[in-house]
Amino acid sequence: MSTPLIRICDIRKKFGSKEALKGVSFDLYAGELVSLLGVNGAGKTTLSTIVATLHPPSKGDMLYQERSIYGNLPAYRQIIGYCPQKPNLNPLLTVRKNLEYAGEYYGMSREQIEKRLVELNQQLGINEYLDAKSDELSGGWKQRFMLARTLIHSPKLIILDEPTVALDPDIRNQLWHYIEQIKAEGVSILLTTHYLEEAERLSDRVVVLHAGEVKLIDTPSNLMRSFEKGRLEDVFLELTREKKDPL
Amino acid sequence: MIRPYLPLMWKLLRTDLEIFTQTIWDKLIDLFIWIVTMVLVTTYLMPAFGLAADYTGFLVASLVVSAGLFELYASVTNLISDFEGGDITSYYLTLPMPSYLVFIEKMVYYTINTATMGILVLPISKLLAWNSLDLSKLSYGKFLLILMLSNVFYAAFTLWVTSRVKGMEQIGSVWMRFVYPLWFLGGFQYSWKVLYLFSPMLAYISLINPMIYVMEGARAAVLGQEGSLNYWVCVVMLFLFTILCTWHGLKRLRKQLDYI
Repeated sequence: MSTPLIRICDIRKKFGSKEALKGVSFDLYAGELVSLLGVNGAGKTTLSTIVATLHPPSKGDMLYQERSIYGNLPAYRQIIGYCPQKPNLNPLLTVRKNLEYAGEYYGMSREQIEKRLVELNQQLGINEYLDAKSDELSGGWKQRFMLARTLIHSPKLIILDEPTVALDPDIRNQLWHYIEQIKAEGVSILLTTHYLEEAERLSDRVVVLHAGEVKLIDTPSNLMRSFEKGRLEDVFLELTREKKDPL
Repeated sequence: MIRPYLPLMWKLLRTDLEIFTQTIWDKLIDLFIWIVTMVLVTTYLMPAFGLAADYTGFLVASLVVSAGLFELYASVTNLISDFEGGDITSYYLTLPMPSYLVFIEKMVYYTINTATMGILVLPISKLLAWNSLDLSKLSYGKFLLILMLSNVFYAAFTLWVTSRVKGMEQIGSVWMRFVYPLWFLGGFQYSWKVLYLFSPMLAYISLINPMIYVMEGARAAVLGQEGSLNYWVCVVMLFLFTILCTWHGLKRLRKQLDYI
């Protein structure tokens, strides 16, 4: 692969005396989908919110085009899209307005927004409920519109924090299909997930976090080969069992 | 520093104003009920109990700048509930601009919201009280300046109060701990000079209450300078309190929300 899109360099995060991230480092390349895996409390969401610039790291840096993002935060924010775990569309506006305004926040013209909405409709099939308010939508539709809002300004990197959590299997499958389409367009994706099946299907590489540290980074196929397992889930179970054995 | 981000701030403001228009009728009805009850009782009923006839003007000047303060409770509640669940603010905090500007935009919105309400108090009160409300000494320029400044102060104070409230379980305290004492001990029903005649020490202590400058400044603008603190002192002090609340509120919010 060529130069990384972003470099996560020794990121640490403390909440009071508790260290949630203990020096996490890895690179994310253009068009790559990296999944963050780990049990509850491993630091997945903390890391994804730092990459999304919602929170600062206590120590460490993130580089975009070999420069610290903190030197010009708005420029970095312009190229990312963040889809948090919980949908946060504005319930007082229609979904169409949520999307249009999101486009405007990123400096898009009306024409660009209209064109992008057509593209997003082709990709995600969002037209049906565009004029509904988010409170009227099911979980699956909310998540679909969250993806649309994340993508409205054509970001280079999107951060998806457990996008399929608490969704029915068929809707989850549908969202996986959308994520594959987004990836095929060359968008880099940092995906936080609990579903190992999801990580196995979608990821180019997985980052296994444990207690705030990176335990493993590799492709799902390499991991399954080296652990002699047929599924990523079995690799993960073995890894977490290893952690529990000494106790 | 802020200039490159003004278009984005304007778009955020426009979003807030669109939501404001959805609720404006409810707010106007609430405001109307409040003014009607206060002005009618003060103008037509209280004189029977010995209240001075010109007290209506005194009260109306206080009402004009109090309208915004009553919006504070709703604004703080909205912000706290969003921090705890709605998370719209967290989306704004990832937009391509320095994060603190999200709250500066909120301040501009709160100012427009409350000033819109406040500016209606005077004409409605005049219609209700008519001859009992003498506006011959009203200075329109001073009135608009103090109205804007007091509402900018309320916006800054909203941020500061929000930064002091730990969660929705504490929201009930906002009224009793912050709004009510400041307002009621801030000269809503009495002037600073009357308080000074009663107790100079209490009068000097009350000068740390920003509401004193809001009320006295409004009365100087509506009823004339006589009997009130110097108008320009009120303007300067309100400006300083606004800076202080904004700076400290943003500092605490940054710690509370852990934004960049």
